[in-house]
Amino acid sequence: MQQRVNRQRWRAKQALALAASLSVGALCVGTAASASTAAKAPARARTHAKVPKSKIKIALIPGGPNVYFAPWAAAAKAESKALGVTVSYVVPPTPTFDPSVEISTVDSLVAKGYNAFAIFPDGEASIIPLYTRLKARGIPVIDLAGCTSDPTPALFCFATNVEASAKYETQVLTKAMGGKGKIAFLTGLLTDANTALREAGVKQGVAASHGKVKLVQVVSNIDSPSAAPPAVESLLASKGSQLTGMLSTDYYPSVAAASVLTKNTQFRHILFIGQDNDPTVMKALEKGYIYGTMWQNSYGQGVVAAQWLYKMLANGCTVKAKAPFTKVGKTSHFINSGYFFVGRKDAAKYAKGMENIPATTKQVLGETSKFLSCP
Amino acid sequence: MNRVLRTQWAPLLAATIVAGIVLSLATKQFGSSFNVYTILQTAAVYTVIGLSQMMVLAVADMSLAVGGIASLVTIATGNLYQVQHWPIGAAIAGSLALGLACGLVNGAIIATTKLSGFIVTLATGTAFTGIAYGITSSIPYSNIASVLTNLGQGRAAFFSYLLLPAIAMTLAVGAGFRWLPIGRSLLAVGGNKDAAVLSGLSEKRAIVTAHAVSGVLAAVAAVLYIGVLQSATPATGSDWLIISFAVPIIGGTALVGGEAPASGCFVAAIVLSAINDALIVLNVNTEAVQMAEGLLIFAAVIAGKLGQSVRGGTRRSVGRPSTGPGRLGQIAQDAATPGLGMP
Repeated sequence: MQQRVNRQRWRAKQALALAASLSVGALCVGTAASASTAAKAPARARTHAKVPKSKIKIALIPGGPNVYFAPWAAAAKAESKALGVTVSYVVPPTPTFDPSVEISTVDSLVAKGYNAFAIFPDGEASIIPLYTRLKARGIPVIDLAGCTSDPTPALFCFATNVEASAKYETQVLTKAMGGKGKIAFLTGLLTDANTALREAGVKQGVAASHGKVKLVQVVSNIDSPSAAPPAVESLLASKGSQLTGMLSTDYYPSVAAASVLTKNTQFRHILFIGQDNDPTVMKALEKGYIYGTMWQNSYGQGVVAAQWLYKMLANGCTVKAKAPFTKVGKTSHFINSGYFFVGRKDAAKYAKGMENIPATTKQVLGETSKFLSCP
Repeated sequence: MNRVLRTQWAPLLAATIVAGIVLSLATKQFGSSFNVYTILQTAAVYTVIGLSQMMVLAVADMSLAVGGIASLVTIATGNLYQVQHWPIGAAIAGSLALGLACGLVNGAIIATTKLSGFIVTLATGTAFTGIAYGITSSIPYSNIASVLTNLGQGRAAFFSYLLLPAIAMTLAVGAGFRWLPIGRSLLAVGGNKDAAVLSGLSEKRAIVTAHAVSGVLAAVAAVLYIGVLQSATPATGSDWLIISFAVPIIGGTALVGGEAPASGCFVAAIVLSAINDALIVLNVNTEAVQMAEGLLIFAAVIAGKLGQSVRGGTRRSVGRPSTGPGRLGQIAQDAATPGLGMP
């Protein structure tokens, strides 16, 4: 019996010793790997070796399945044909924009030979270890439609300047209201970094009225098909009579507001500006039930990302360290992909098309030499 | 009247009515016709979502696929009407049949493999959502039949038309559990599987039936939401998980099965909807809604536990081998005897 107990103790000690040595080993390897990654991590302006066209595989990765990213698929198809290389639009299977799913999607694509990425980051910080690994392998990666926080291995961030867009939207609304009145703001998840920027933009727009416009309520966290309609209706039930204007910077609140204003004539005195181009929004705009909607350049984002990543691989271009980036939010390497206001008179023109601002895309592509240095 | 007062949701309903009166006096907008309509419109859809989950909880199982089925049914309705040009009645019938099929798949897998409903519906729900996103490439169908938008947005003063299908579903489910042998057999299997099987009831049949009806109810909720949003988007159902559990649990449905008051779902849906509305009317941060829902679920579970103790452990007596059948054992016997449970 005593012998058996001793044997068990001996085995337990062996197991503990093994576990301890494995842990120490793992720590050493981890530390060495980080050091090695850090040492090997190329600078932002690192020169890429030219890659033969047949081996260029570019991936555009949205945060998850969402209607906003749909034009990227069309852009990937068009650029694949135009450039003669593989440009794929690959959606991570995560409706909740889970970073771990996005990371495993990108890892799978790397294993399949993809060597350039434009990614909407699911989490401004949690995706950075993935970027660091890609960079260490010499794979260029850019932020698309959303930015990671500095310091980031992303070469730059090409996205809508949501803060400026929200400020502009507020100013357009203010002007339509005759420069004064009470407004409400509908927006998305507070955990989304863009929401804070949008709110800041709206507040700047309100501040520009020098007290003549009052932001009476912000309703946040309602960017989903089931959360948006009751929230918008509750807001209108309580504040509808005193509101002069209302604006949304997110998709589903815009759809819900357009839907409610279409069916409820008693709230039509409220001037509403929405976001994006859902058919419900565009129909309400055409009929004059809402005042306008803010347009983004989703298609152009896909085009510029594909073309610039192609230049990096095929021509060995690098991103200039002193390119004319702007600082927006937590990134100092921002390029604006564009936004503009669509009013009733232009509604029919834009109702059927995807979100696209060709003029801005052309302008950014025309300034390629300011951002990329090519041999 | 006495029966109503003894229900788990009676104190909650009373508190909500009192709070509603106070709020109406404090802010006149809360009691306005449009605001009451808003509360009832949301409550109508919450009720059907809750009933969908309650069906499965009745047999002591759970479904994480309610949202997934809704997502698939939503795009099926949009596709059949907008792309395949089916008449709206046929499109809705087809979509309800799809919901039934999804529920049958869930039930059949669980009943035959004996795997946990949690695992099976987690997998199938994700698959249903994936199919919906895959078919549409995330782009919603926008050509919605006016009959649906009129139903979703229509009202007579404060009365939302959505209440009609919601009340119909509540009555149908309540009557099914009370008077139909199959309904009573679901409660019997959920309350005490061993006693039910010994009484000659089929556990497999109960599980398949519960999931099948749950699928149909999820489909009904999805169709109602198309009318509310005037758009058929695959994102429908993405955030139904908490609501689907909160409504039946707050309404007095037992997590261990055997107790499924449909009327409780209706009351709980009104309570949750009123809280959502009040927080926006009072300009409280929207995050507080989630916190309130969490606290309510917790309170409901505690109240249920206390209620069981006060009632003298009726359920405990049927949960163990005992000399008498107990209430649920009696239900099992009734359900196993054809015709006995009928009115």
